Amino acid sequence: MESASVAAEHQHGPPEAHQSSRFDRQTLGILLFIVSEVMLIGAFFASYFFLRVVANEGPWPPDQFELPVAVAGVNTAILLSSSVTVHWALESVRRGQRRGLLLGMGATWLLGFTFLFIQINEYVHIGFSARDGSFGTIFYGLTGLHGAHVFVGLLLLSFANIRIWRGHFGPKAKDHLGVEVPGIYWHFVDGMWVIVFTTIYIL
Amino acid sequence: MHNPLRSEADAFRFVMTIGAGAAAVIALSLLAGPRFGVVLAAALVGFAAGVAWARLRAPSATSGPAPSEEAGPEDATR
Repeated sequence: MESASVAAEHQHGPPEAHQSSRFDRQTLGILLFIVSEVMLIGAFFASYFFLRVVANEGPWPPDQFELPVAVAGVNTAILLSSSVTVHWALESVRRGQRRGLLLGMGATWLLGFTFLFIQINEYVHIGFSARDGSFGTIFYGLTGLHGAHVFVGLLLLSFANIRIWRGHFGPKAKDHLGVEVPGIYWHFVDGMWVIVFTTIYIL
Repeated sequence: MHNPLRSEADAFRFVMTIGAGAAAVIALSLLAGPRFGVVLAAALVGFAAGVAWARLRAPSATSGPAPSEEAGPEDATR
Protein backbone atom coordinates (compact mmCIF):
# COMPACT_ATOMS: atom_id res chain seq x y z
CA MET A 1 0.00 0.00 0.00
CA GLU A 2 2.75 2.38 1.02
CA SER A 3 4.91 1.39 -1.94
CA ALA A 4 1.96 2.08 -4.25
CA SER A 5 1.57 5.64 -2.95
CA VAL A 6 5.33 6.22 -3.21
CA ALA A 7 5.24 4.93 -6.78
CA ALA A 8 2.36 7.28 -7.57
CA GLU A 9 4.28 10.29 -6.23
CA HIS A 10 7.37 9.45 -8.29
CA GLN A 11 5.59 8.34 -11.40
CA HIS A 12 7.57 8.43 -14.64
CA GLY A 13 6.18 8.58 -18.13
CA PRO A 14 2.99 10.19 -19.38
CA PRO A 15 0.43 11.47 -16.84
CA GLU A 16 -2.80 9.75 -16.04
CA ALA A 17 -5.45 10.19 -18.76
CA HIS A 18 -7.59 13.37 -18.50
CA GLN A 19 -5.23 14.86 -15.93
CA SER A 20 -2.68 17.66 -16.25
CA SER A 21 0.91 16.74 -15.42
CA ARG A 22 1.47 20.25 -13.98
CA PHE A 23 -1.67 20.92 -11.93
CA ASP A 24 -3.83 18.78 -9.76
CA ARG A 25 -7.39 18.76 -11.03
CA GLN A 26 -8.79 20.98 -8.24
CA THR A 27 -6.29 23.78 -8.93
CA LEU A 28 -6.78 23.45 -12.69
CA GLY A 29 -10.55 23.68 -12.16
CA ILE A 30 -10.35 26.91 -10.16
CA LEU A 31 -7.87 28.41 -12.66
CA LEU A 32 -10.20 27.68 -15.58
CA PHE A 33 -13.09 29.12 -13.58
CA ILE A 34 -11.07 32.28 -12.88
CA VAL A 35 -10.19 32.61 -16.57
CA SER A 36 -13.91 32.47 -17.44
CA GLU A 37 -14.64 35.05 -14.72
CA VAL A 38 -11.95 37.37 -16.07
CA MET A 39 -13.70 37.29 -19.45
CA LEU A 40 -17.05 38.09 -17.81
CA ILE A 41 -15.59 41.00 -15.85
CA GLY A 42 -13.76 42.14 -18.98
CA ALA A 43 -17.13 42.43 -20.73
CA PHE A 44 -18.44 44.59 -17.88
CA PHE A 45 -15.35 46.80 -18.01
CA ALA A 46 -15.71 47.12 -21.78
CA SER A 47 -19.26 48.38 -21.17
CA TYR A 48 -18.00 50.77 -18.51
CA PHE A 49 -15.34 52.31 -20.72
CA PHE A 50 -17.70 52.49 -23.68
CA LEU A 51 -20.24 54.40 -21.58
CA ARG A 52 -17.56 56.64 -20.10
CA VAL A 53 -15.42 57.40 -23.14
CA VAL A 54 -17.62 56.92 -26.21
CA ALA A 55 -21.23 57.48 -25.13
CA ASN A 56 -20.64 60.16 -22.51
CA GLU A 57 -20.65 63.91 -22.95
CA GLY A 58 -19.74 65.96 -19.91
CA PRO A 59 -18.27 65.03 -16.55
CA TRP A 60 -17.94 61.45 -15.30
CA PRO A 61 -19.59 60.53 -13.05
CA PRO A 62 -22.44 62.94 -13.88
CA ASP A 63 -22.88 65.75 -11.38
CA GLN A 64 -25.86 64.27 -9.54
CA PHE A 65 -23.86 61.19 -8.50
CA GLU A 66 -21.63 61.39 -5.45
CA LEU A 67 -19.66 58.29 -4.49
CA PRO A 68 -18.61 57.54 -0.89
CA VAL A 69 -14.91 57.25 -1.72
CA ALA A 70 -13.69 57.21 1.90
CA VAL A 71 -16.05 54.38 2.93
CA ALA A 72 -15.13 52.38 -0.17
CA GLY A 73 -11.44 53.03 0.57
CA VAL A 74 -11.78 51.60 4.06
CA ASN A 75 -13.66 48.66 2.57
CA THR A 76 -10.80 48.13 0.12
CA ALA A 77 -8.33 48.02 3.01
CA ILE A 78 -10.55 45.48 4.78
CA LEU A 79 -10.65 43.23 1.72
CA LEU A 80 -6.91 43.51 1.06
CA SER A 81 -6.17 42.61 4.68
CA SER A 82 -8.29 39.49 4.19
CA SER A 83 -5.79 38.44 1.50
CA VAL A 84 -3.06 38.71 4.13
CA THR A 85 -5.01 36.59 6.62
CA VAL A 86 -5.78 33.84 4.10
CA HIS A 87 -2.09 33.76 3.14
CA TRP A 88 -1.17 33.55 6.83
CA ALA A 89 -3.61 30.65 7.22
CA LEU A 90 -2.03 28.79 4.29
CA GLU A 91 1.49 29.41 5.59
CA SER A 92 0.35 28.09 8.97
CA VAL A 93 -1.08 24.88 7.56
CA ARG A 94 2.10 24.32 5.54
CA ARG A 95 4.07 24.54 8.80
CA GLY A 96 1.58 22.32 10.59
CA GLN A 97 0.34 25.13 12.85
CA ARG A 98 -3.34 24.41 13.29
CA ARG A 99 -4.01 27.48 15.47
CA GLY A 100 -2.78 29.88 12.77
CA LEU A 101 -4.93 28.08 10.20
CA LEU A 102 -8.00 28.38 12.41
CA LEU A 103 -7.45 32.05 13.23
CA GLY A 104 -6.40 33.02 9.70
CA MET A 105 -9.36 31.45 7.95
CA GLY A 106 -11.78 32.67 10.62
CA ALA A 107 -10.45 36.21 10.30
CA THR A 108 -10.67 35.99 6.50
CA TRP A 109 -14.34 34.99 6.69
CA LEU A 110 -15.10 37.82 9.13
CA LEU A 111 -13.28 40.42 7.01
CA GLY A 112 -15.09 39.23 3.88
CA PHE A 113 -18.44 39.36 5.66
CA THR A 114 -17.64 42.87 6.94
CA PHE A 115 -16.81 43.97 3.40
CA LEU A 116 -20.11 42.64 2.08
CA PHE A 117 -22.07 44.19 4.96
CA ILE A 118 -20.50 47.61 4.35
CA GLN A 119 -21.15 47.36 0.62
CA ILE A 120 -24.84 46.53 1.16
CA ASN A 121 -25.02 49.42 3.63
CA GLU A 122 -23.43 51.64 0.97
CA TYR A 123 -26.11 50.60 -1.53
CA VAL A 124 -28.83 51.52 0.99
CA HIS A 125 -27.44 55.01 1.60
CA ILE A 126 -25.86 55.91 -1.73
CA GLY A 127 -28.90 57.81 -3.03
CA PHE A 128 -29.24 56.41 -6.54
CA SER A 129 -30.31 53.12 -8.06
CA ALA A 130 -29.41 51.01 -11.07
CA ARG A 131 -32.28 52.68 -12.96
CA ASP A 132 -30.73 56.14 -12.70
CA GLY A 133 -28.99 56.46 -16.02
CA SER A 134 -26.10 54.59 -17.54
CA PHE A 135 -23.76 55.45 -14.68
CA GLY A 136 -26.12 53.98 -12.09
CA THR A 137 -26.53 50.84 -14.17
CA ILE A 138 -22.83 50.22 -14.71
CA PHE A 139 -21.97 51.15 -11.12
CA TYR A 140 -24.38 48.58 -9.71
CA GLY A 141 -23.43 46.14 -12.46
CA LEU A 142 -19.71 46.15 -11.70
CA THR A 143 -19.88 46.45 -7.92
CA GLY A 144 -22.79 44.00 -7.74
CA LEU A 145 -20.92 41.48 -9.89
CA HIS A 146 -18.00 41.75 -7.51
CA GLY A 147 -20.31 41.48 -4.50
CA ALA A 148 -21.70 38.25 -5.92
CA HIS A 149 -18.15 36.92 -6.17
CA VAL A 150 -17.50 37.87 -2.55
CA PHE A 151 -20.65 35.98 -1.58
CA VAL A 152 -19.47 32.88 -3.44
CA GLY A 153 -16.04 33.27 -1.83
CA LEU A 154 -17.64 33.45 1.60
CA LEU A 155 -19.50 30.21 0.87
CA LEU A 156 -16.22 28.51 -0.10
CA LEU A 157 -14.53 29.92 3.02
CA SER A 158 -17.44 28.67 5.15
CA PHE A 159 -16.94 25.12 3.89
CA ALA A 160 -13.18 25.42 4.43
CA ASN A 161 -13.73 26.72 7.98
CA ILE A 162 -16.10 23.86 8.82
CA ARG A 163 -13.56 21.37 7.53
CA ILE A 164 -10.79 23.05 9.54
CA TRP A 165 -12.87 22.68 12.71
CA ARG A 166 -13.27 19.01 11.86
CA GLY A 167 -9.50 18.64 11.51
CA HIS A 168 -9.47 17.75 7.81
CA PHE A 169 -6.28 19.47 6.69
CA GLY A 170 -2.58 18.66 7.02
CA PRO A 171 0.82 20.16 6.10
CA LYS A 172 1.34 18.16 2.86
CA ALA A 173 0.30 20.00 -0.31
CA LYS A 174 -2.29 17.40 -1.26
CA ASP A 175 -3.76 17.48 2.24
CA HIS A 176 -4.78 21.14 2.26
CA LEU A 177 -6.12 21.68 -1.25
CA GLY A 178 -9.47 22.43 0.38
CA VAL A 179 -7.91 25.64 1.76
CA GLU A 180 -5.55 26.37 -1.12
CA VAL A 181 -8.26 26.43 -3.80
CA PRO A 182 -10.61 28.85 -1.93
CA GLY A 183 -7.48 30.90 -1.13
CA ILE A 184 -6.64 31.31 -4.83
CA TYR A 185 -10.25 32.29 -5.55
CA TRP A 186 -10.25 34.77 -2.66
CA HIS A 187 -7.08 36.47 -3.93
CA PHE A 188 -8.73 36.76 -7.35
CA VAL A 189 -11.78 38.40 -5.76
CA ASP A 190 -9.52 40.84 -3.88
CA GLY A 191 -7.49 41.75 -6.96
CA MET A 192 -10.69 42.27 -8.91
CA TRP A 193 -12.01 44.68 -6.27
CA VAL A 194 -8.79 46.75 -6.25
CA ILE A 195 -9.22 47.29 -10.00
CA VAL A 196 -12.97 48.00 -9.69
CA PHE A 197 -12.43 50.46 -6.83
CA THR A 198 -9.60 52.31 -8.57
CA THR A 199 -11.51 52.56 -11.83
CA ILE A 200 -14.94 53.53 -10.53
CA TYR A 201 -14.26 55.51 -7.38
CA ILE A 202 -10.89 57.15 -8.08
CA LEU A 203 -10.21 57.61 -11.80
CA MET B 1 6.00 31.60 -18.54
CA HIS B 2 5.29 31.14 -14.87
CA ASN B 3 1.55 31.19 -14.14
CA PRO B 4 0.92 33.94 -11.55
CA LEU B 5 -2.00 31.99 -10.10
CA ARG B 6 -0.33 28.59 -9.95
CA SER B 7 -0.56 28.43 -6.18
CA GLU B 8 -2.04 30.47 -3.35
CA ALA B 9 1.37 31.99 -2.57
CA ASP B 10 1.77 33.09 -6.21
CA ALA B 11 -1.76 34.51 -6.22
CA PHE B 12 -1.01 36.41 -3.02
CA ARG B 13 2.09 38.00 -4.55
CA PHE B 14 0.04 38.87 -7.66
CA VAL B 15 -2.65 40.59 -5.57
CA MET B 16 -0.08 42.52 -3.53
CA THR B 17 1.57 43.69 -6.77
CA ILE B 18 -1.80 44.87 -8.08
CA GLY B 19 -2.44 46.55 -4.73
CA ALA B 20 0.91 48.38 -4.84
CA GLY B 21 0.26 49.61 -8.37
CA ALA B 22 -3.27 50.70 -7.45
CA ALA B 23 -1.96 52.51 -4.36
CA ALA B 24 0.40 54.54 -6.56
CA VAL B 25 -2.42 55.37 -9.00
CA ILE B 26 -4.77 56.34 -6.16
CA ALA B 27 -2.15 58.52 -4.49
CA LEU B 28 -1.32 60.33 -7.73
CA SER B 29 -4.99 60.79 -8.56
CA LEU B 30 -5.76 62.31 -5.18
CA LEU B 31 -2.70 64.54 -5.20
CA ALA B 32 -2.51 65.68 -8.82
CA GLY B 33 -5.88 64.77 -10.34
CA PRO B 34 -7.51 61.78 -12.03
CA ARG B 35 -5.96 62.56 -15.44
CA PHE B 36 -2.49 61.93 -14.05
CA GLY B 37 -3.79 58.76 -12.40
CA VAL B 38 -5.13 57.51 -15.72
CA VAL B 39 -1.75 58.15 -17.37
CA LEU B 40 0.09 56.27 -14.61
CA ALA B 41 -2.44 53.42 -14.72
CA ALA B 42 -2.00 53.13 -18.50
CA ALA B 43 1.78 53.18 -18.08
CA LEU B 44 1.68 50.47 -15.42
CA VAL B 45 -0.65 48.29 -17.50
CA GLY B 46 1.65 48.75 -20.49
CA PHE B 47 4.71 47.90 -18.40
CA ALA B 48 3.00 44.79 -17.00
CA ALA B 49 1.98 43.72 -20.50
CA GLY B 50 5.57 44.22 -21.68
CA VAL B 51 7.00 42.16 -18.84
CA ALA B 52 4.44 39.41 -19.49
CA TRP B 53 5.29 39.44 -23.20
CA ALA B 54 9.03 39.24 -22.49
CA ARG B 55 8.53 36.35 -20.07
CA LEU B 56 6.30 34.59 -22.59
CA ARG B 57 9.08 34.71 -25.19
CA ALA B 58 11.84 33.71 -22.77
CA PRO B 59 12.59 29.98 -22.54
CA SER B 60 10.89 28.64 -19.47
CA ALA B 61 12.74 26.52 -16.93
CA THR B 62 9.65 24.34 -16.62
CA SER B 63 8.80 24.14 -20.33
CA GLY B 64 9.95 20.57 -20.73
CA PRO B 65 10.40 17.55 -18.54
CA ALA B 66 13.77 17.59 -16.79
CA PRO B 67 15.87 14.46 -17.33
CA SER B 68 15.53 12.21 -14.36
CA GLU B 69 18.58 11.78 -12.16
CA GLU B 70 17.62 8.18 -11.65
CA ALA B 71 17.31 7.52 -15.35
CA GLY B 72 20.20 5.95 -17.19
CA PRO B 73 21.54 6.99 -20.62
CA GLU B 74 18.83 5.02 -22.42
CA ASP B 75 16.07 6.82 -20.50
CA ALA B 76 17.59 10.22 -21.18
CA THR B 77 17.31 9.72 -24.95
CA ARG B 78 13.62 8.81 -24.91
